[in-house]
Amino acid sequence: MMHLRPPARPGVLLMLAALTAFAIPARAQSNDDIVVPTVTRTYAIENARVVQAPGRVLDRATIVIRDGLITAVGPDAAIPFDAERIAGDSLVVYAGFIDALSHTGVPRPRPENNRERVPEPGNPPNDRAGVLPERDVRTLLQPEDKSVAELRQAGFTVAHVVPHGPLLPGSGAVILLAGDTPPALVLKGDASLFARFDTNRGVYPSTPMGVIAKLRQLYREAERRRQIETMYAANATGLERPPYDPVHYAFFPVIDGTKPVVFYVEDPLEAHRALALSRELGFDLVLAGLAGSGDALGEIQAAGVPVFFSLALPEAPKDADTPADSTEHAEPMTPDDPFISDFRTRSYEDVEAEKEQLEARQARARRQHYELAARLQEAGIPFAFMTMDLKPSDIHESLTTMIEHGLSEDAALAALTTTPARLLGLAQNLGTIEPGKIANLVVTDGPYFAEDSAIRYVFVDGQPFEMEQRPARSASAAAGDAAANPVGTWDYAISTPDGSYEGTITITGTPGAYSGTITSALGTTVLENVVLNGRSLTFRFDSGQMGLIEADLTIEGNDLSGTMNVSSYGSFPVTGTRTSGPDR
Amino acid sequence: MRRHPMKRLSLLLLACLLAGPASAQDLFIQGGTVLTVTNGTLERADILIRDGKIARVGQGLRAPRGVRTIDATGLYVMPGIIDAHSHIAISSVNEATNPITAEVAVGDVIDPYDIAIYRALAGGVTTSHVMHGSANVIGGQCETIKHRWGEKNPEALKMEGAPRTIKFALGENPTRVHGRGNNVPPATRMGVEMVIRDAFNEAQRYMDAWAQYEARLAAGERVAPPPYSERLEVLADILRGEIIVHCHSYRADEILMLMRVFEDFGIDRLVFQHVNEGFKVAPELADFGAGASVFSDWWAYKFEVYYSTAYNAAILTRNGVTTSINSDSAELNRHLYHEAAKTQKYGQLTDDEALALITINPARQLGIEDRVGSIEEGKEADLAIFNAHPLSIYAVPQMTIVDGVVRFDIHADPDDMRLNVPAEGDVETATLWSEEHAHRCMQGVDLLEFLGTR
Repeated sequence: MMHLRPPARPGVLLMLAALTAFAIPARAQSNDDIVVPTVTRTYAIENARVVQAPGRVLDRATIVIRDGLITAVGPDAAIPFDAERIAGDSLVVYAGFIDALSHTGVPRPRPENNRERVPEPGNPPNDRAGVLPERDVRTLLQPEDKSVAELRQAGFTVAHVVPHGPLLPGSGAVILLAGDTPPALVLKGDASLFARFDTNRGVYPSTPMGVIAKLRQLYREAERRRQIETMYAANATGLERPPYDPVHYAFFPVIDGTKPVVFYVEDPLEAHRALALSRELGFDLVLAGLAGSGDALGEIQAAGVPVFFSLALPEAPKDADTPADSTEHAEPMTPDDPFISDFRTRSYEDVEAEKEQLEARQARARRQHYELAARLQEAGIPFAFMTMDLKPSDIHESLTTMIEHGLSEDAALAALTTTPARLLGLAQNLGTIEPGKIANLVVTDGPYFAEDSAIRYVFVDGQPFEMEQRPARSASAAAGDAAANPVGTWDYAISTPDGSYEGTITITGTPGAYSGTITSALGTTVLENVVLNGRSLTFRFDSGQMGLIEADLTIEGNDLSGTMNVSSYGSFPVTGTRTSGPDR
Repeated sequence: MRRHPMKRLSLLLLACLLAGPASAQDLFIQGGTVLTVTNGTLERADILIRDGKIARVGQGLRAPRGVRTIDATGLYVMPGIIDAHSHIAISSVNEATNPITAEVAVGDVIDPYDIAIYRALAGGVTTSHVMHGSANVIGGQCETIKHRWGEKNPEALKMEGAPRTIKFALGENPTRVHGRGNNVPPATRMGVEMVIRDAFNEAQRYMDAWAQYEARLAAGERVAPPPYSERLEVLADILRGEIIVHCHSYRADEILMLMRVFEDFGIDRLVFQHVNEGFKVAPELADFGAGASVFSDWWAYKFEVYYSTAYNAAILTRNGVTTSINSDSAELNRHLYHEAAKTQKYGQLTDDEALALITINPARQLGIEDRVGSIEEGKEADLAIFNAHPLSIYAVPQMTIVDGVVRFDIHADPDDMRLNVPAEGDVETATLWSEEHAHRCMQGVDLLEFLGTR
């Protein structure tokens, strides 16, 4: 949280950065501190409680790390003479967590305003359509992006990352969450073909059904080209030379079964659609996200498809007085009786009673979402946790919520370690604390899932990072108490079922007297009731056609996130970045 | 509720014995006035449903043991209503980015959570022809669904085995969206014809290329397959007669145009939708064998729909055109029986003729007339039960049955029938009225206030 510290003289900062640049490039943006200067690559964590794998615990053991690998684990492991010793008494060591899907280390591209109109919307260039399966996330990595250090601070050592964008953003890679250069991060390239149902509005394909048709076309034409390539390779005589074409060629490993399609789905309908496409075209599928997709669980189980489950959980509305557990009287739905008589109101005129019933149903829907991980576990569906949709500082709370709702701690740990390692094809290298594996470790001062334990060290590829000695969660809470400064110009993007709307928000003024404007494709509008409360920024504005829009945003340094509530249309997520202002 | 385990077990056994061999899709509807549509009206008749099919229809039948009996004394039983033009239960309607999008299919984006399905059931509608929109000359493929409300797998709503259908559109919509909107053809009605002819010509070349490839392959040659196109595959299937074309149309001239184009390409499975000027070319439609699916009395909502008449359905019917009345609306579909009744005021159609407009005739237009659309033994048990004759203005639907399963019952109809509510964000109340709403509805409607109509 560098931006919240008192302003430091740039000279001091530069000096600090120069001193540590090679050892820990992320230092300038993180709380990480290296234990000692990197004079040795040998470490020993002594006398710690070692959770080698979910359910496999050594109460008092020593872990030896040399040249980036775990070389010994056990009560009697010999400590080499050149090892840097770390006293592990009262500490717990876990295999480094693996994020199954995110954009970590991949900066979000700046929204392009005023792009040229496509002459033929029905036949747009591939980059405008979002058809970029040949794009390789390895070419987009930035080790210094603060997302890398932030995720590492949450105990993650490895992430499967994919490019930003709709439809077919590109292919994913598995990266280490530490490294000086983009190539140094890469553990495994070409790990997946990433797909989603989102589109760029106004060009083909612009709808979910258009996306499905486009994917069929691309896949079947790719199969044809694969066939021709094979024929040509076997005997070229008499055959026209097949032209190189990166888009269809990007599907070849998928057709060959060496690369899965990771399909991001947001609801049970999208889950069904991705499953249907995989069934029809015959590609290996991993479902990612899966928010609120409990209704599709049976089909997911039957299809034997693994899941990257999002750690982002729905939050109760701020004014909710109905806790999620207050609706236990409501019986679960069954196909025979999908309707709940308890949710009946006495009269259609009693709108208040109806609203209460709806809030109760909504609370129940939230609870069902919290229980989904436990149901995945129960159904035997292999699942790994992904962090794409939430802030790293919220991960622990999400895990706690899922455990409170029936997920076992061992299953939660497996979804952070062994299962993602296996699903990403790296079980030999990652996921457990065993000799020969990459030295990715999380060291905590108590059981990780306990409320008050904190992360002390994270080892990535044998390189230690020491965390500040205060609980990570109270750190974020402390940051929450300090008021943010909203002043500046922000690029924002609202994502709606129709696609993403982009523009800028400008906030001016001083604490207690903020004002501002918002610019969209429709023009510029003055904001009303611009109120800052801690890090929470709220305002509203009249959009004309869409009615009154209310924004509820949270500022984190130069990032904002939250929702915009469009009267009678619903609430849509917003993200944004400060492009000019006090800090930039 | 502490019961002795043995006692509970014996109760369970008893329940099983009572149920006998009855399946969840067995029903016995006793003593109603049965409007078969195809075989006249049967007074005080019974309908036995077994495994979702109509097993027997007649007077004095006996309910087999264990089969649920519905007392229909004083009630009217008609075939489930079929809406030949609907856009409910799908996540997207128009892929409006290209004049031809034959490759997209609304069947890929069925939304079983759409409350409009339940509301349609409450209007006696059991089947909807869910269509792509009319933005494109050749739009997407449509889907015939059954209103199996409560099923959450989209596949479960599809009427398995129903013929494939596709949406075409003539006139102002495609010329406005593509010609005026994007400056790509068609900009005129002439252009619409050109786009269709070009598309079919291209599809023929595509079929030729693949036929040649197959022939050379069969002759043992080493040959590379020609380019693959989802879009041209579907157009080729239209040329092969495997897909029924449902064409959005208003004016008589463009209706004649499309029939001429189809004659040139040897396509004969054609239904016109809206077809407000159909009454002008009814004999030509009958000669071609084209169907017509119309509104009862809805027009003048844009320039090309000014010339119209409420006698349209009657004129088409009496000229031998297979005619239906559709909704194209999640509101109108709840009272299609009233829409059908209007043809008795405007055209004096008989009861059976009027009811056929919303049952067996739309079934014929969708190619499902051997399965639904009338009350006949062997057909699927899709039924709507009314408290009065469905063509009466006093008729209120009481119960709607799909495949022998009661999916709507006015006596078991809680206020909120949604299958899900989102876990986060605002939820609409089912009652779309409040002080706040009254205000919002008027938002932007300054003209009315100016005119003093408040």
